[in-house]
Amino acid sequence: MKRQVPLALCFLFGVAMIYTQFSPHQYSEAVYNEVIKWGLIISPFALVLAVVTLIQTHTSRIRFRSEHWQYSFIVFIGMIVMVAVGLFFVPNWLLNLLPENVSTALADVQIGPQNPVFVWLYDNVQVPMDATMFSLLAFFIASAAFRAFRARAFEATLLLITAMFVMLGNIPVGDLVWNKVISWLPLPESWVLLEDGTSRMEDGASWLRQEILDVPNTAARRGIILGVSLGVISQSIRIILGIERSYLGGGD
Amino acid sequence: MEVFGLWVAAALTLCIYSFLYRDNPFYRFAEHLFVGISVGYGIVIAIHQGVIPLAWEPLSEAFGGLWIEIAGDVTPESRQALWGLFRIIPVCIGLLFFARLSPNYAWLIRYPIAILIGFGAGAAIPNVLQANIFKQTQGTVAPFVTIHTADPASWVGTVGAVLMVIGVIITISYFLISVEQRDSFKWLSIIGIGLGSWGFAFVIADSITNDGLTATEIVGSILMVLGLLGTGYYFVSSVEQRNTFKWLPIAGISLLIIGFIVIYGNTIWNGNLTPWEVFSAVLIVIGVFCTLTYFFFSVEHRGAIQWTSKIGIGFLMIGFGAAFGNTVMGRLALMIHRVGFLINDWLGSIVALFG
Amino acid sequence: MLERFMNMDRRIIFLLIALVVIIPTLIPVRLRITVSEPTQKLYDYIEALPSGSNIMLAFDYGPSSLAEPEPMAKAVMQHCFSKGINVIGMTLFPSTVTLADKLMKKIADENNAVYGEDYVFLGYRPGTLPVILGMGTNIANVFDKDYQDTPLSDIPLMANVKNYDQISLLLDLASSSTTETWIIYANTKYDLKIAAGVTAVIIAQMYPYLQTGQLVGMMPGYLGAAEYEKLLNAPGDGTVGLNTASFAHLLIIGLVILGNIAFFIQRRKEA
Repeated sequence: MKRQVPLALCFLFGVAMIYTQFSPHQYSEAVYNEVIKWGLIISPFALVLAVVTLIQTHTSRIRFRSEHWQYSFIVFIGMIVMVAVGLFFVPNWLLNLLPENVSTALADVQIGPQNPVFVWLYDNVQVPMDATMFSLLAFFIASAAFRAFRARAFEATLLLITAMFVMLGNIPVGDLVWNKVISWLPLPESWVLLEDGTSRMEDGASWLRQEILDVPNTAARRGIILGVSLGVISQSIRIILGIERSYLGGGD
Repeated sequence: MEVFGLWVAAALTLCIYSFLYRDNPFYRFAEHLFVGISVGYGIVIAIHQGVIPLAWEPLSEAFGGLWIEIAGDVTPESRQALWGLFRIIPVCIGLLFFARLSPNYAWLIRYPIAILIGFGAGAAIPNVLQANIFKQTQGTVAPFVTIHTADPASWVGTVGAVLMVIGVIITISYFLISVEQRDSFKWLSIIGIGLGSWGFAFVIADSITNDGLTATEIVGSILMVLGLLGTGYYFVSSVEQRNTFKWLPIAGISLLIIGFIVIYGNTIWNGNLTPWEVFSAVLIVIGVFCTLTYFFFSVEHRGAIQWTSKIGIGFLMIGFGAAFGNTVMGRLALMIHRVGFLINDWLGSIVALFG
Repeated sequence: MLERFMNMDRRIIFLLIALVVIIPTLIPVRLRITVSEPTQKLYDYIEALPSGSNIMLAFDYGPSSLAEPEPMAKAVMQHCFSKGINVIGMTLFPSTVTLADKLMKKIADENNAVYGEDYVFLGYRPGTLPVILGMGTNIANVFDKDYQDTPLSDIPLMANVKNYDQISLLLDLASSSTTETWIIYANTKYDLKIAAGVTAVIIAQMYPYLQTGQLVGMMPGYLGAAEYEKLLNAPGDGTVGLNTASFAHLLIIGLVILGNIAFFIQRRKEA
């Protein structure tokens, strides 16, 4: 029951998904749609795992008075307020019991994620903090560029030079400088001008960026994609066949 | 309320930026508030956009149908709704996630997890194979040839495609075997790579036949297949054998290049591809080959493999360098957005107040 | 002296980077933008679509990375509305539902688009993979109602849209690997055309798919948004952002060079 059944379920659903994707038969299509439906129904419950882990972490922080434990209360307050506002609703039987002006006012406060208080908290608390938290990385990347980004070895130099060219190609200043320099250089006209009179040497910075991304970058990324995909496929086969069982976790 | 919201958002933004000076209570307050609010938001969304429409509503409809059935007023719609009762099974399986709360029954969460994992693995196999292996390999040679893998009229192409699939499957099964066992199963990968490259050659030959096969193209194809086989054999042979076959990869790669020139020299000469396009396309082929070599032969990097994987690292470094250069733009974008909010929206509203 | 320079307080660098962002925000500049091929391809593809086509917009980014995808969404939606192309919005990210809903409304209002006729927002459903695969057979299997809780059957725009067969393009506005997931499942299995508007961090990994045509086009980060705005001749947040970013880029390039010069001088001294 503890291991065999989950392994069998995993095998069953895996094989069903593989088989039904190849077979165009109408029963097979019905099975395919039903399996997807099951996936859809089960998925939302998975959030329970994350929430339970978070609650356990912060209750134990409060219980054991670990460093900054007081702040864990703020986590709970934020969560409870959000859930209370978002799930707030008045059942119909209660609405009918209340005086009419109260019940219409209550019904007007939209239920769920469209509740104005819920949206206000999301817009003015959650979104700005999330965006700001992530934007701290801009400061850290600048500091890392100065401290850690060194041409220590050949490989590091290659990485550094590529990064510089891509950065220059990403910003309009790159082409501006390039075009200025080209116009100053005493190059023969046949080198610079195409037959239709346009410049062939124009916008070199963005051209170089595009070539780096198009050619060596594509090759390296494709190598990674091929390598990872072979890994994903063999891992998937191992999972379906029950060779790979780490997702079951420890214990018997 | 809108102005108040602006001030709250600005205050919290500054709380978080205060971390740049050093860790402090304002930052910690904002950080924890953020965690709480966003988890609360997630719970509400999961219920309103997940549980209610996908589980609750179909089930309550089904029970409504059942009620009508019991009451005796059967309609075709109520009959139809009864089918929804089957959905109670996945709902119950989903509810098993709550077993996480009980130490004794925590193992029950393996049921829904096993289903989701099996579902994902089953969906991945055919699609990843198609999208990331076949299409990507095709893309690597596409600049040189038009490939007709799906042309059922041509038996050469079909045989080629089938051989390629078998080759890839065998090669994958080689990677399924644990590292210790691999030594005794080396033949598996040789057959895999061999079949794969023959299939590949057939596919190419087929595409060439469609516009008339010339003698040079046949010779070129045969040379390329020999080259591929030779190089492939070298990579899977043991270290001791490799010393005897040192010449093999060099000969193999040279054959590949000669075969390539024999086939495509003509196309290039006629100006169908510019020298720069050919250079780029060849560079991609070399890059993919070297990067893969670096990944697959990470244990013993010697001789020819050492050089190939060195080049592979070079390509990877350029790839990572490009990614780093772009990351700078991405991180700055996040900051510019926040600074824009503080200056234009928040300070702007204060100026407007006094202005 | 050199030691002190190399070990300077990182808060000085923080201050510098803040300055090069704040000053151009206060005093904006406008430089000429060169349009790259992936953005041009996306623009051309949408430009060639007949009026009445449907495109799907997947808002697959969190609030943490909204800076880049928002101007992209704005530019593309503006393009679609001006050509009479319908936009169907949805998201695979739970944390983005409210954001995407508000953004679509705002852009639609600016372009006088009508909800239910010119655009619709379906909302969010958990479980990425079953959502993508499920919509391939029937969108109503996954989203039986839109985000406003209106049944799809009551929405005029959705009357002729059953599944991916009626959708000419899916544009994934992404900050993580969702574009790959759309390619692997929706493009491979259902032949849905995919394009991407990605945050700069993941631009590089999209290129193999562009080369094979598995992606019909792509907007790379702020640059992509600015390029699309240029093609529409309607400069917006992308253009402003990219110009502002120019100075910070130059500072970072300068910091890398200075850091390396100091590093080499020190190494020579030690040797």
